[in-house]
Amino acid sequence: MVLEASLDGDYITAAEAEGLRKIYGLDKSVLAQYFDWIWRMVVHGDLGRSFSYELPVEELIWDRLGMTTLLSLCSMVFIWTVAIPVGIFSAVRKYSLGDYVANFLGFIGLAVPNFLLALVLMYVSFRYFGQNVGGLFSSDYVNAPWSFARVGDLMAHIWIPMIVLGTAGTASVIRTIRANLLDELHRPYVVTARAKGMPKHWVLTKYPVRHALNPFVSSLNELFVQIVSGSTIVSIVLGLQTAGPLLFDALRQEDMYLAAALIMFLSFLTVIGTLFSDILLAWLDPRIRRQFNNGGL
Amino acid sequence: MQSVRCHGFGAQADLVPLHASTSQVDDCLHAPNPVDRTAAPILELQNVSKHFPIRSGFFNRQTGTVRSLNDVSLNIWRGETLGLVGESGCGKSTLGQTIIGLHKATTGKVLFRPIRSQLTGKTDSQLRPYWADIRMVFQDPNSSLNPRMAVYDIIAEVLRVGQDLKSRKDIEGRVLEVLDKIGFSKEFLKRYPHAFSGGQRQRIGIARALAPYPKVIIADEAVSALDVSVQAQILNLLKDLQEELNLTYLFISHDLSVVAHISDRVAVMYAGRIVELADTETIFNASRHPYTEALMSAILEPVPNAHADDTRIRLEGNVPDPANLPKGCPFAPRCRYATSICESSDPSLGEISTDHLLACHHPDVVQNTPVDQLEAMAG
Amino acid sequence: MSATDFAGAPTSSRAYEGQWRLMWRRFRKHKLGMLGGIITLLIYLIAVFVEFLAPHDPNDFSVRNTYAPPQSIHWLLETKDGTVFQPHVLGYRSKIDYNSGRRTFVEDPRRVVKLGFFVKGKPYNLYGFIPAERRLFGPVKKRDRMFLLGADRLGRDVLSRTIHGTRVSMTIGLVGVALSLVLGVLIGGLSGYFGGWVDTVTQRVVEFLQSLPSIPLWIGLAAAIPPDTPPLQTYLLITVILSIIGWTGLARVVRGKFISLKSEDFVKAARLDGCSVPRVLVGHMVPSFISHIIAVVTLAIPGMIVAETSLSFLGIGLRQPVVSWGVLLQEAQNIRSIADAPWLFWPGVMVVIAVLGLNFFGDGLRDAADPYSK
Repeated sequence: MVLEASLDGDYITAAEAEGLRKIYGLDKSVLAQYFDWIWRMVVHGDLGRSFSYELPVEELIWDRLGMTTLLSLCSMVFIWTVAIPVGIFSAVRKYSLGDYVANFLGFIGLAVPNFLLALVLMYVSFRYFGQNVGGLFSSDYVNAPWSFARVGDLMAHIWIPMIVLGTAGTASVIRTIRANLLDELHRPYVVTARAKGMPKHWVLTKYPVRHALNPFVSSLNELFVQIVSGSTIVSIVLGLQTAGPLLFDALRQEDMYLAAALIMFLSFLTVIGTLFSDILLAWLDPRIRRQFNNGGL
Repeated sequence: MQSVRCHGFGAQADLVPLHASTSQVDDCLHAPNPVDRTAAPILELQNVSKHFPIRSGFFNRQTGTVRSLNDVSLNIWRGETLGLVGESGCGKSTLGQTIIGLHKATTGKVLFRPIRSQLTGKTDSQLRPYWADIRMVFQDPNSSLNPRMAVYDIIAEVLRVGQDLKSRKDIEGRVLEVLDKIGFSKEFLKRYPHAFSGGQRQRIGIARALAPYPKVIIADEAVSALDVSVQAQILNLLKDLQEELNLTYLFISHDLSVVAHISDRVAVMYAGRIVELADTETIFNASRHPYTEALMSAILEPVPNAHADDTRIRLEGNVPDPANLPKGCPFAPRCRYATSICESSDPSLGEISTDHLLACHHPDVVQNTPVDQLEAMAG
Repeated sequence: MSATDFAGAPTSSRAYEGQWRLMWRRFRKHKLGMLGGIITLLIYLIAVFVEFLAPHDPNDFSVRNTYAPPQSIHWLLETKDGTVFQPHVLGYRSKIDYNSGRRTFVEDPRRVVKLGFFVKGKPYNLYGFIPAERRLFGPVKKRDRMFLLGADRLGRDVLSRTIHGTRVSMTIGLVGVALSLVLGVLIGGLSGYFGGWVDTVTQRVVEFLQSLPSIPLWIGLAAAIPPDTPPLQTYLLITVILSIIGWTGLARVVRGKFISLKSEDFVKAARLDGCSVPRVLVGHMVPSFISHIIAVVTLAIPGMIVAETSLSFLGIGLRQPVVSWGVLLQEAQNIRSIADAPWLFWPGVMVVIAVLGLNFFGDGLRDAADPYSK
């Protein structure tokens, strides 16, 4: 934590350095700095100044956190739209070709770490398509103000990180749904419904699928936490304008207020996500709803 | 710690010679042992209650109380079998586990002869000496036998941790002795529970109970998980063992025909309290409680429609929620004879004739049709 | 009565088998689990005999061989006596294109590098203290080099480095999980055993920790390790960092098992047999859940490996000269180097194989963990 020289390499006088230390509060102990920071944040909403950007932290982080949220939500949607139908399909058509393919992809998603998948994707697209897939925007739009064109550009770029982030989750969701649905399909009530002449797809969607989705909904929070967590490293590899790379740079440059604020708000994001998914679960599952009503929190 | 085990009182030492029974009950009933009810009871329950707190919410605050046992008093004499019947959830199992000390009673006392030692209010380590005298046979032999231990180890565990048998040889001798009692041969010693059928496993459970020369056995639904034919075998085994070893049984079951088969006296439980208690014959022929009446009528008869008038009483509703008991008699909401007094005040258990206890505001309302239910139930 | 009674009883040898034998029976039927087990075993064997298996010292560099592509083994050699069986690789002739600054490599048929088993290579200290120089497979002549999986930026042998990385990466998973296990069993066990407010507090803490994003926290904590920390200390600190969050999952499993076992009849029966609390725990409860714990632990190792790899890949975990798969993948960080030298992905392939193997193995163990269900 020593600011002997500014980034350009110009020397500064000892007095100037002392002044800077005062401004950034570096003359106090680490613990005191931490509590000062918390205090200023709670009382004044002041997150401190970034050393390396020489800007207030809050000017730097909101855009990035917003992008992280957007990317995470997109990945969630990606997982839902892919994993639920595939999971149902592979349970209903057990041991079919499609089931094996889904299983195989599931294993890949399970075993390939996010950053490695990102690297491989980068390699493939560079090698065979001759383009760099990094970033969330084309160079024209990186610093442009928001517009429809910029949103369109974002959508054109976001799908690669979305797939990278979603693959692991997709794999695990397919596995859960397949296993749950297979359990459910052997229940006597399904046999009864079939014996009474209910059409197959009707039986399937009316009861077992709903039951099979329940454990999935209850693990939504874990999924969200994993995605936000994973997005950090994927973004670093792919050079996305999300919170991850900013955090990484901040840590490498010992830009502590910026890093602390980012870690805190990323945690905040996942805690909120957990809360939302718990509420969703309570809304979907009558048993939990009842628990809430009787005595609840 | 001082061992309170009294061997003069134990096991085979004082086998009572079998007289011809004084009261010759119907043949199909269990011929009662010569139980001396003038002596002090071997187990005495005085106003035992067990309440469980309900905790919920973020901080696990107590938000209610489940009153599983309410003011239960009863005596069990040496050598007898007391049957305990009731619907599931009425507190039968809780009573068994509270007597032995697996659950600690909230209020009340459990006294155990010979010296009326108090079992309540003791810690596990204080109770350990008594746990050799009072043993338990569990409902489901699949879960009560550790699947990872061989038969020998299951039975020997109690002897190994006990104080009486020190040498390995003594322990092995005792295990073989007990195995012989339940009709097992030596070759089964090294087998694991999964190698046995349900009935055989329950025999192992009984052998484990017998190992430390107990005086009292609490059998909690001991035959409920078994096939009917196997049930009969196990019941007969229990009866033989009782005669041979002068054991005392507290036999907990929801199955009236099983209880009739083995019990000398029967206590009927409802919502955590005893509502009627009498000898088996009285309970089956001259019960006075509307709940007992309903239970009796639910026994399946071997010949359907043998009695033109369908005497079956259907109980509406369920056992009251023990977390939220009604104010008056807990049975009142389901009782077809209930009057206003039943809804306002809770009847206490009182003696209506010799050895017949009843908790009902209207002791004479039940019409005792002397149906040949006894025949029915014993086949 | 006994004679007829046992008519239906199974009398196979299974009747005399304890839980481990039954589990083994069950596990053998789980084909993927068996495959995973074999893969896991092989990888750990590699980790044990790293020095012997690697053909070269991982830090031997040769600038001449910068980004040399993988060589293929030729089996037959033409000599003046005719064709003989002699495994060999062909050395490279390299040319530098001064416009692009890249080297191009062409196999030179005249530079035959003869290979053999149990060859003498550069001397090394096995486990740091046993001096040795034999290696399983490599060039017969000490000074020759072979690059079966190519070379990296400094001309170091990717195969040797990947093999060396196995030890660090695979053990960091073990050590990290062991630490998490100690924390998890301790905290989860206490929570499940005492119940009440202890349980409530622990559960809330676990839930809170589980709703935090682990990678940003890991990055933050790992970045706090001073860069000049000695390698061994860095290694230990990284495992500590990984287990700070990793214990929560294990604690949950232990607590859950504990609570469900506490109400099992056979545990009550053991209590009534007069067993003391430690005897109930060690003699009756632990044997019932140790197999589940082993399965859960096995399934937790891959997460640790991936986490270490990710941190080291970013340059804030383990650092040079320590060789781990993550450190090796750092070489593959920029698009130019992976475009020029895709063989730098080999450590990544090893990560994938190890993770898959451990996952399959863990799945198999989990399915076999309770041989008494059904």
